[in-house]
Amino acid sequence: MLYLMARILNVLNSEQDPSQISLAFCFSMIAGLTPLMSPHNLIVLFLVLFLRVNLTAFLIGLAIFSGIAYLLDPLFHITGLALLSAEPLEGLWTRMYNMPAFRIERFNNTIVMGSLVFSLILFVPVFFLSRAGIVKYRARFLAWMNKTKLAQVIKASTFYKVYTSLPFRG
Amino acid sequence: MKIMKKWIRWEGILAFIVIAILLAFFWIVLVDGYVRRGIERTIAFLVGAEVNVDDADLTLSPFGFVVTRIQVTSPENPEVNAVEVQRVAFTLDTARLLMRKTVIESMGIEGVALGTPRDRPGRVYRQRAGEVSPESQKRLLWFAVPDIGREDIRRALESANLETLKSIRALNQEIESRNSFWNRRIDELPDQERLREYQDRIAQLREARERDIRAFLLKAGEIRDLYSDITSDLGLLRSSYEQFSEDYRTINTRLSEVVNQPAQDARRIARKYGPSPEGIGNISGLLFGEQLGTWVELSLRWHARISPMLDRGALTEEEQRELRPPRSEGIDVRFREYAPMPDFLIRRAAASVITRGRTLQGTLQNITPDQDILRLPLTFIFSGDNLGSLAEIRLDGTLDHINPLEPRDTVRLGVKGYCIPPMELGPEILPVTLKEGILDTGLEAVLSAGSLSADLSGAAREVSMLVRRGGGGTDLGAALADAFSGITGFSFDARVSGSPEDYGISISSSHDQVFQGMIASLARDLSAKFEAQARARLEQTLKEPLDSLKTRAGSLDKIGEELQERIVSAEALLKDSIF
Repeated sequence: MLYLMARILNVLNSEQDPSQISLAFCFSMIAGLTPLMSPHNLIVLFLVLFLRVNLTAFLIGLAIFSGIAYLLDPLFHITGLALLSAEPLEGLWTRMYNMPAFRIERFNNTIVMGSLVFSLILFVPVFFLSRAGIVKYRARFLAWMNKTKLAQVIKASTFYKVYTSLPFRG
Repeated sequence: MKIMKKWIRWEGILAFIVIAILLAFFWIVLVDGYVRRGIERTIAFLVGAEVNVDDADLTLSPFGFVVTRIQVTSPENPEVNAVEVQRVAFTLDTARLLMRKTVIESMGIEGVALGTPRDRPGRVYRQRAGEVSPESQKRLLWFAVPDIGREDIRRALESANLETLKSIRALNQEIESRNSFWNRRIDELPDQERLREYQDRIAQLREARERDIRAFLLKAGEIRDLYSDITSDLGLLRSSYEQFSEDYRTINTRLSEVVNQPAQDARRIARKYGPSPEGIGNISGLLFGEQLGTWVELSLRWHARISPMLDRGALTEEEQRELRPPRSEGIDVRFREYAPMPDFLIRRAAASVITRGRTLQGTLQNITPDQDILRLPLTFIFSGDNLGSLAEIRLDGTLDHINPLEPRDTVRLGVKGYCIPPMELGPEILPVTLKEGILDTGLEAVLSAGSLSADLSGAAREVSMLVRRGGGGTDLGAALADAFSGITGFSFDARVSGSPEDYGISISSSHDQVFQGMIASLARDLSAKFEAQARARLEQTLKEPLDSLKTRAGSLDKIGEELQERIVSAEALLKDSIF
C-alpha cells in the first residue's frame, strides 16, 4: 500500500506533461472497465506503448478501474442489453455481427458493449478533468503542502524514503 | 517535429510486438491444457463419471487438435473404462473460427475400445446408468406376480362391496318388521282366555244336559252359536298360522342363503382381486418383461442426456432482460446471420471401435446443437462383422431436431448371431436362468414429440434354459423345469408404446403357447389360495352379525308355537260331545 501510494505521488509529481498522464488514465479506464482479454485492449496497449503516455499512470489506473468495473458490471449489462436490443440500431448490429473483426471483439456481449460505450463516452471528459486536476494539484496543493509541518514530518518518514528511492518512470 | 517527438514513442512498436509474441506464445502453451480440461468436463457431465485425457496438442497447420487417449470411467464399474479412445484428430475451419464458429469438417476417432482396465478406479458423479429409479420400478410392476399376503386380503375385503353384509342388514330389518307385526297380530287373535271362556260355556251346557234334557234341548240355538264362534276363531287362527308359516319359511330361506353367502363373496373377491391368467400375464412378460423394461428405461435416460445437446434453448428478449448473468460474463445477444451456420458443428466423425481384435466402423454426421440453423439432422451408422460374441451388427439412426418443437428420433438395430451371456430371468415365482443361446434380433424405435414407439422382434436358437428352483412353492416347479429344459429355441415380439413418462410394454413369444396351460394352472392355484384365505377372513368377520341374525330369527319360533297351541285348543273344543 505504501509502495502504491508512493508511486501515485511519484507520477503526479514527475515532470511529465499533465496531458500525458491524464491520457494514460483514460486508456487505463478503457482497458480496466472492459473485459481485459477483449481484442480492443490490444489496440489500447498499442496506443499506450506507441504514444508517449505515462506507463506508471496507465498501470495504476488499470488496477483502480478493474476494481471499479467489478462494481459496475450490473450497470454495464443493463446498458449493453438496452443498446443491443434497441430497434433503430438493429441493422447496424446485424452488419457488424456478420463481420469477423467485430465477432472477435464480442461486441454482442452485453458487458463488452456496455463497458466499452461507457468508457468511450467518459474518455474525453475524464481526460480534461484529470488534466485540470493535475495542473491544480501541482500549482497550489503541492506548493502549499511543502510548507506545512506535516510535510516536514512526512519527509522524515519511511514512506518518504520509499518515495524518493523510486526511479522516475514516464 | 517537436510535438511528434513529445507524443510518439517509436520504440513502443517494438515493445508491442514483443508483448504480442509473448501473449501468443503463452496462449499456444496454455490452450492445450484448456482444451484437455474442456473435453474432460464435457464428457464427464454426459456420462456422470471421471474422464481422463492424456494430452491435447494444438496443430497450427492445418489448425486443429490431436487428443490422445481419452478414458471414460464406467459408472457401473469404476475400475474399468466404459470407453477408451486412443486418438482423436480434427481440424478447425479457421475462417469460421474468426466468426466464433467451431466447425469441424472431419474428425477421426481411432482405437475405440470398450471395457479396458483403469490404472486407478475413477470417480462416479451420478446415479449409475444401470440402476432403475423407484419411479421406473413402479412401471415394471406389470410383470410382477401378485403377492397374496394378509394385507392384500384386508384391502380386497375393504374394497369389495360385500353382499353378505348387505343381506344381513336387510334380513335383520325384515325379521324386526315381521316380529313386530306378528307380536301385534297375536294379541288381536283369539287367545287362551277366550278359549277358556268357550270351555266354561261348554261345561255349563254339559251340566244343563245332565240336569234336564228338555231344558237342554231348548238351548240348541245357544249351542249352535257357540260352535259357530269357536269355528270362526279356529279359522282365524289357522289362516294366521298359514300366513305366519309362509313368513317364517321366507325368513328361514333367506337366513340359510345369508349363511352360505361368505363363500360366494370369497369367490367373487377372488375373481375380482385375485390372480388370474390375464393378471399374471403371459410367460414372456414374466420372463423378459423386467429386463426389457430396464433396457427401455436405460435408453430413455441416455436419450434425455443427449437431447439437450441437440436443442439450444433460445432466450426471448424478455427472458434476456430478466436474466441475471454471472458477474463479468454478460449475455451474448444473437443477430441474424447472412450465411447462417451453427456455433458448433462436426460435419463428419468417423469412428473405429475395437472389440476383441475386430473393428466396428461407424460414422456420425452433422453433430450440432443448432440443427434448426443447419437444416440437417444428426445421422449415424455403425456396422461390423465377426466381432467375437456378435456375427453381425448394424446400428443406424437419425436424431432430427430441425424443428425443436417436433423432434423425431429414430433408431434401427439389427443383430445376427449374438452369443447370449448367462442371465437370470423372471420374477421370484418363476426364476429361470438363460444359460446360453444365439440371438438374431431387430429393433426399430421412434421417439417423436413426446410419443414413444418401439418394435423388437427376434429369434433365439441353441438355447439352454433351466429353472433355478421350484416355481414359487407351487406344484408347477417340476413341470416348469422339465418344460424349460426341453426348450432349444424361441421367437419373440415386443412392442413399447406410449410416452416416455408413461409407456406400456407388450411381449409375446413362442413360450406363450407352450406354457399357456401351466400359466392357467398357476393362476388357478393362486386364485384358490386367495379365495380360501378370503373366505376364512370373511367368516371370521361375519360370525358375530350372523349369530345375532340367527337369534333374532329364533324369536319368531315362539310366535309359531303360541299359534299352534291355540289352534290345538280350539280344535279340542269342537270335539266336545255337546256338539
